[in-house]
Amino acid sequence: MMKLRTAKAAILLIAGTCAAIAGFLFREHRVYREAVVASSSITEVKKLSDYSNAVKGTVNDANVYIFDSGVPGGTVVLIGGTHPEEPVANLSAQIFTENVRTLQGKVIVINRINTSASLGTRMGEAYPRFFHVKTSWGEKKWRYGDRVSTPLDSWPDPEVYIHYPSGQNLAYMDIRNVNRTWPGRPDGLLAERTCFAAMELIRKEKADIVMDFHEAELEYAVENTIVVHEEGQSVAAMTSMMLTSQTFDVPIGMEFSPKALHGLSHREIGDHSDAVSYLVEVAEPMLDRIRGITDEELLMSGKDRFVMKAGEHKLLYSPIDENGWPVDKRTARHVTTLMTILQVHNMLTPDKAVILEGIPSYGEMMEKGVGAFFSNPDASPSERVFYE
Amino acid sequence: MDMVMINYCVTVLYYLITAFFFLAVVRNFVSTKNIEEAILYGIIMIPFALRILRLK
Repeated sequence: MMKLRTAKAAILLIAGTCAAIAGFLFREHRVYREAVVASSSITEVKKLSDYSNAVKGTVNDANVYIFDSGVPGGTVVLIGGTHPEEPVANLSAQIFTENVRTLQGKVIVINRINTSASLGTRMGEAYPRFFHVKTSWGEKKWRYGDRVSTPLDSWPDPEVYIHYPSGQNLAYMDIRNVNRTWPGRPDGLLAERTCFAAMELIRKEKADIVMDFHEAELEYAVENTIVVHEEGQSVAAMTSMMLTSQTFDVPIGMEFSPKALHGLSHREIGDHSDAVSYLVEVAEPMLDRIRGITDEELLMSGKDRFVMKAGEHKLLYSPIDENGWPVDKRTARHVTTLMTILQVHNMLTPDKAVILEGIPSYGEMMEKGVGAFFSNPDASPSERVFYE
Repeated sequence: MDMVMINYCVTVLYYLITAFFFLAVVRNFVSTKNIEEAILYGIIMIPFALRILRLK
């Protein structure tokens, strides 16, 4: 009897220790806050709930960084962090937040539109919890996340997710996916309310352009491309041609947003507001099913011999070689794509021009790395330091 | 009743169910005389505890 009690006490001790360690790691990920040093041209930082009460008091009440030149022109809204397992989306948005100087028009940035999804990683995938970017002042740390909001914040899922307002049936977990719940509704679940609040922002700020940054596995057909609402086809086509012929080593394509596929930003934002909606994709080998060791090294370098082998057998929609798809290149492509879209937009609609300064070029980001363009929060004026 | 309220009610019920099963596993852990079963119950408790504490 004594032996059994001792054994049970030992089992409880071991199980409790495992739970404590796991709990500590999960909690550390969930409570970590990322520092953002807004550029000196910041005019206002709002919350998403300033545009709609639908997200008030929720974890997805994101910071909204506004850079208003005061000179009449267009308004562009940048959305990062739709899928926090695609970190370059977040980094690209933050490059703008930390560096942009607006000469004409207005820039509005949301670095993390689905904060909830960044507070946990995808279950069963052994993802790293954080990733780090080297800078001249040390390492800057971000949360690595999941594709959808965590069940801690949005639960339960329906058996079948019926998209509002189209009525289209989608996979159950997509009710937590911020790129399946546009245009959202004020009385829906968390992702739907988040999209509704963002739509209110887009409508109230009279946005002309909305850009949603993403990454995709190389096995996925929508890759290294601009997906655009039909309203933006001229700008996207010209951008694709300019970047492919002059800047990028791997071409960037352009495709139309399917009219019958609902819930996606490139379709619904264009349909439910006056803004032209764009979504850009870049290759991220970390997301491929056939990848090898899933760690921060793969996330940052984009090098994986199993994905490369698949490429040798022509199973991928994007080229990959021993140089991989490093985070610097992926971010540089996104930032440069948006800058080129604005350049073309300004040519076609000069009365709605958005003219920006301070954004690094593709060559600068490739040469210096993206870390060179993030400021040290500890050495920056506190009024410009915000947390996500 | 709107969708948010329905979801809230279901979530509360879900946590109550989770707590019920956690307590059932604890009860089985206490009453079993088989060490292998005790190990199994000890492992099973972990995800229930993490969920009740809203850590995962």
